Amino acid sequence: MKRLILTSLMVLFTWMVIACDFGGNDTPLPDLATPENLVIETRTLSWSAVPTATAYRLTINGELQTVTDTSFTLEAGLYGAFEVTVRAVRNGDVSPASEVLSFTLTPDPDPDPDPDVLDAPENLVFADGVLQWSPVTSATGYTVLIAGETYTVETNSFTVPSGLTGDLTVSVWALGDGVLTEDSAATTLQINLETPVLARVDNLRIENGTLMFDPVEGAESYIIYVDGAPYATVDGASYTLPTALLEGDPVMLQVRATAAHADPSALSEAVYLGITRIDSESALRAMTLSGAYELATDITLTEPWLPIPFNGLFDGAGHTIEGIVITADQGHVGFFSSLDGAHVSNVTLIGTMTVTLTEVDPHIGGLAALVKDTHIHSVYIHMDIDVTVLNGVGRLGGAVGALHDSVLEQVHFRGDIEAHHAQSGGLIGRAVDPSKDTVIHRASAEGSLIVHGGEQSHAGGFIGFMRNNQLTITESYARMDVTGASYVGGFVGYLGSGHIADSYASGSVLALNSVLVHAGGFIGRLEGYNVTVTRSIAQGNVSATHTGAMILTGSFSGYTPGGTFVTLYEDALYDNTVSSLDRIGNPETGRGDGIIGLALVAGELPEAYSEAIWNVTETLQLLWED
Amino acid sequence: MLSAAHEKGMKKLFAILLISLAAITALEVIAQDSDDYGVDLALGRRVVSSPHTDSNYNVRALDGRTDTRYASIEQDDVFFYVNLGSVEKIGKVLIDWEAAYAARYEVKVSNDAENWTTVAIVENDAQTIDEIVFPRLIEAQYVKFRGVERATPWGYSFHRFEVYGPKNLAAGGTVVEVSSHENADVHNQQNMLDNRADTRWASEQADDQFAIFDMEAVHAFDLIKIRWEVSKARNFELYALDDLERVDAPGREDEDWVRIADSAVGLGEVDAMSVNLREARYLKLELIQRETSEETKRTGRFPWESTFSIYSFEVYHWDAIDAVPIGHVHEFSQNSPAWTAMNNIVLYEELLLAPVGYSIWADGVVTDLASIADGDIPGFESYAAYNPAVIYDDEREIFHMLYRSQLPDNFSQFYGPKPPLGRMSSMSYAYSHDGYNFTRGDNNPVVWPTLPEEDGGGIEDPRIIRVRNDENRGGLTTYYITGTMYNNQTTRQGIIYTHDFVTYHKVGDLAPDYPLPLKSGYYLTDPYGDAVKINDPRPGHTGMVYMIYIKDGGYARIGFTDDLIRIEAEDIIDVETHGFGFNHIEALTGGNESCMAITNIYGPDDEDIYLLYGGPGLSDPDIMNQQFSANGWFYALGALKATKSNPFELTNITFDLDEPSMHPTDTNKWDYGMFDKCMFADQMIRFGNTWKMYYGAGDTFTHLATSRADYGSGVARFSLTDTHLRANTYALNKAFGGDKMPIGIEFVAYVHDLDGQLIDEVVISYDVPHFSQLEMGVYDRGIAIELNIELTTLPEQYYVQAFVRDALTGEILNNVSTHTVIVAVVNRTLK
Repeated sequence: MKRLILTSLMVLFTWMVIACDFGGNDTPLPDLATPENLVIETRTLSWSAVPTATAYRLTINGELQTVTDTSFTLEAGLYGAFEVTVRAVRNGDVSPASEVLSFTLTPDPDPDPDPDVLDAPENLVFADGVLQWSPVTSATGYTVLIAGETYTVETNSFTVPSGLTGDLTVSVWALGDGVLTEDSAATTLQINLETPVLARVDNLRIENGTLMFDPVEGAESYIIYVDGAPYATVDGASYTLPTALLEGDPVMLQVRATAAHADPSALSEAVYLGITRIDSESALRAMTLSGAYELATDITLTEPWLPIPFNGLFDGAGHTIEGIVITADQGHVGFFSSLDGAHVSNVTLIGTMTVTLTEVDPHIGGLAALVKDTHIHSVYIHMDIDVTVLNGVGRLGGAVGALHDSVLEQVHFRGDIEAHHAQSGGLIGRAVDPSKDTVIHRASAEGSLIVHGGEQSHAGGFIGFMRNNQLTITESYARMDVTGASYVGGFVGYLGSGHIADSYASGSVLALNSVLVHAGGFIGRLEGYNVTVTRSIAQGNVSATHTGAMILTGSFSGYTPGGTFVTLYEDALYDNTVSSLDRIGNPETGRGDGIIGLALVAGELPEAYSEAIWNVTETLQLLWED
Repeated sequence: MLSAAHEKGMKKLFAILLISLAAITALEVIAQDSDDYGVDLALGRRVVSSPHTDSNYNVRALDGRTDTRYASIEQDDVFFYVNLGSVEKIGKVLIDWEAAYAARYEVKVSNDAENWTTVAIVENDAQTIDEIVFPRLIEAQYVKFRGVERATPWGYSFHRFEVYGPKNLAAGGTVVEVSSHENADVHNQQNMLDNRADTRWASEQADDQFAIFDMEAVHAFDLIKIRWEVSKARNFELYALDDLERVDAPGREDEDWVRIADSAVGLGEVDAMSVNLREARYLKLELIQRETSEETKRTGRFPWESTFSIYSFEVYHWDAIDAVPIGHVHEFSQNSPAWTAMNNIVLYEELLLAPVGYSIWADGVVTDLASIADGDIPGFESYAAYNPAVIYDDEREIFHMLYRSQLPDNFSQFYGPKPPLGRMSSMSYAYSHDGYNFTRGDNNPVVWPTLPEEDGGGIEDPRIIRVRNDENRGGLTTYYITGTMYNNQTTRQGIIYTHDFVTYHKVGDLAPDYPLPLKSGYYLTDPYGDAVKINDPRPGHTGMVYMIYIKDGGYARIGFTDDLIRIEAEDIIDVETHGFGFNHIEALTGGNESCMAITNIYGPDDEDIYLLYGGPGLSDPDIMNQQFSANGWFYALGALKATKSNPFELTNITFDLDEPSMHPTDTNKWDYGMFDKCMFADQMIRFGNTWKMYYGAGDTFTHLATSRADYGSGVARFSLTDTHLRANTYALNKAFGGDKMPIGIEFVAYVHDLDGQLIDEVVISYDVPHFSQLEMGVYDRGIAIELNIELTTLPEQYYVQAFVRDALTGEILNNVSTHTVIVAVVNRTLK
């Protein structure tokens, strides 16, 4: 849009009519005719001559102009709308005015065709919701394009509208006047608008039949979950519990905050409606399959314990159960025989487990033999475990025998394990074949593990057998002296698939088989390719009682696949002051890329290792261990 | 094999016996009167030998003529062995020497053509006719001449090599009636009962013939043998007349005929039909259909120009004829480790299926895909019925089989151009209640070529995979069938599914976006044929997935999918180009075909995958063969191990394996067909306590191999020490499912004299732990077991039978093995 700027170069002629008096004898002249055919061509007015006229007087937009010809050219630079009439003039006589000629004159094309293009805006910066840039000389304003919408601003800043999230491209250009200046090219900038995430709802409590919790800033409503499923929605920070819940079976309650322009919060910690407090041994023995329980006190058992299956909530509230003696010879063996969809937390179990089993391929675990779809956190197992399997090969873990689809945080085993014919791990025996993610975070095993058996009885300081592409083990360790048969590892005996990061194993590793051995400071046998071992450390002496073509020992892994397909290790280390073996037991056929040996020194973290995870002041320790 | 020590012992014994011929004749032998012997059992039979010179082929020693001969190459160590066609009871071996006789040779017998028992050592100093007579009949199928030292600078040469057993009950009887003659003067019906193997009857050139036999007295019998000329019956039936009082000969339609045996898989040569013991005087043979496959090209006749022609019809009360056992049945993959699903594999005694119908029915009718669009394809299985896939349906309690049915290549003219659909394959259905006897369905073929990818070669080599509660197909139980689509230019993997083996949905190309040829796909299953999902082994992937081994011309493309009817090109990994480690699957099996991939053999989430592959890569160049050319085996089967975590590489390579797992033989008639000496295994399933491997034999027939599932001991092997006869084998406890406790076994040896009297018994007990508790685990072949018999307790001639039995139940757990010491008398007649 251009504005026409008129530079007025109109020249006003003032003109005085001077009457001329000759007196005398006058012959009367004919009347002056009205001029006709007044036309405009380009900038020139012209009309038909009027007989006896001596001059013509033009009225141009009210201004007079006298000419003697029958044409008049408007001066250059005159534009706009015009109304013109012309009269004939003879001495003092003036004709009537012609018909009005109305026309418009537009400016000629600018002999100089390029108006100045404005500079594109520079120094585009986005901070705290405001986009700013350096001002552009001669700009009349700026246009901003964001998320498909344009906005015009007069100054060099723009507040990003609320409600936008994610990675966006912003364009700004300076606006010209359309005459002397043209709009600039656009300058673009990528910006990221993180969706705010609502904070987790905290401090759930039940008071007088009402679920109360602390409100969350930015929340617009809260979803109440019962036993893990959405149940009701409320606007405020409380929910009056309906009678159906108050009078029904114990249930688990959680809350999630939601808002239109934010990501919902994670599910809160659970609070239980109808939780039973356990304050005696007999109350403990009365636990039922799906109950919700809280320990009110430490308990010392006076009789041997029979494993029970459990699907509910067990909150130790920081207490200890000791004197656990398990000698069961049937079924799944552990404090719990199985945990399925359960929650277990905040408890220490102390005792012994000595069992001889005739069931085929049995499961044994200090906390539970079989664990599925369960949350376990802050649980300590202090047990000496002795297992003899007569029928097939068992699945034995200091804490869990066989693990599926669960989350374990701060789960710790301390004790000595000796087994005949079992796939054994200091913490977990076996984890295979997921339906969903399994997470083990900040867990540990300390003590010793001795496994007598054959090629099927894998032994690992932390986990015996792992084939789960949705299992991640992070920030965990095994300080176990491990003695095993064929596949023996300081951390994992047989690694088929799965992911380990920021973990370590220390403790000796010894293999007893006479023909087939894959023994390593961290991994015994690494079998598959859907595996990552990242920023993990082995610090252990690795040895085998026999030698032979198939007896392979390595400082980190006993056996690793080869080829160029994919690298399995990243920033893995072994302490070469403790083990002088090759990093892998099969260097000619396997690929040990990503493992190096170095001397572990306190005060120096290896490259790529984060001070937020590892304790730099110790030679080998995770930060959370303090 | 006998040790050197044993050979020395044999020499000593022979020396003693030469001197005391008189003593020998005191024993009960078949009188040397030839009237008591039956036909020459070796006449016309298959033979394998050292190479020959000039045109003196080995078969010329078996043609009954004295003017032809076998002449070996000029070396001392020469062998020549005959497959008698079935297990025979042998009384005498005759060798009619030419001038190039043997200064020293051995005669051996066997029941598996691999382990031989020496029954005679002969020394000659002149050209003779040697008759080697055994003190008792010996029960054996194979008879071998082994040259030790020549007498002349030439090789060894003999005009005749003959083998005789007892005369049969019908010999000398009367052939009452036959339906027709080709030439009654030359090939008369009576030739079938004249106790000669070189005279025969021949019918006219038509199906539906018969013969009625009169044994001239009522006899009890349990075995009938038919010795065929090349013009054999594919389909025939045997009848006995139920009326024992009848005197006048019955006619064909007599109402007292009772059918006692039948066969739809006749391969000619020698057919031995076991029947329940019964008595009869009159017998009838109904000859239903002649040879159907193009094997008869060798006779110069088309199949439909054949006659029925029989050299000898024999009737025996076999169980009543005492004979000394030797050796043992043939076993494949002896004592192989626990990870091999099948070990100590034995072939079933009968073929399951053979081709039917005549190729000429298709002439002018089967021309292009449009002509077969309705599935009515005359002659569709006249050439071959093979490469079977079998699954047991536990809901309907029936075995379903889909087999490859095949049209010949030029059904109207042997030497004309191949019609567009020549050699076309389709899929046909058969069912069984016991997994052994199969009956064809009524609507065969059930899947036939309809797509451009199948236009030409057709659809081949089915495998059946089951998914129960199939989410992808509406929650029904679905049976998926993979088959190779071949249009005579390239192969594509076809996929079909059915819920009931009645209606088949042909989906088409399993991986249409994959640019290279694909065939022989086998999805990973459990021992029952159910598809198994595994933890996705590909880096960066999560969850569980189905997996298939598939490739044209090799093993090693592996595909992953969630729905068995479709695999995307990017989900097929070519092991060869993906940069796997040194022992990747293609490096070890290149050029061979994926046959089977089975997991969860011992438990529901086992780590190990058992792979069976087949191909020429397993040929052993040391095996000699004069049957229709070729060196060694053409197509045998081998076993490999991978894991669920790493299906791309193999882990059995450093452990000794009895390879190949199974192979065709040199002389068994079912190994010869469209593709001689080819074994192609489509499917292996476990049913009860038996593994059943259904396979294609000779690329023409359907056959079955079995092994025990929960336990394995190979046949005992005998050896001699200075003081003992020793028997060794392994005991492998491979229990699956419920109970892996150690089992108690007894390793037993019974010592008999040649009359069958038990004279000693040795029993050694063992506790056999489950392999999962052994040091080598899945690589273990079991604990070594042994028993020893003091030599001083053994007579001069004897036989020892050794086997393993369950200590608790007495059930015999393995195949019996016999060690026999028997010495023949040699009567030499100067020529």
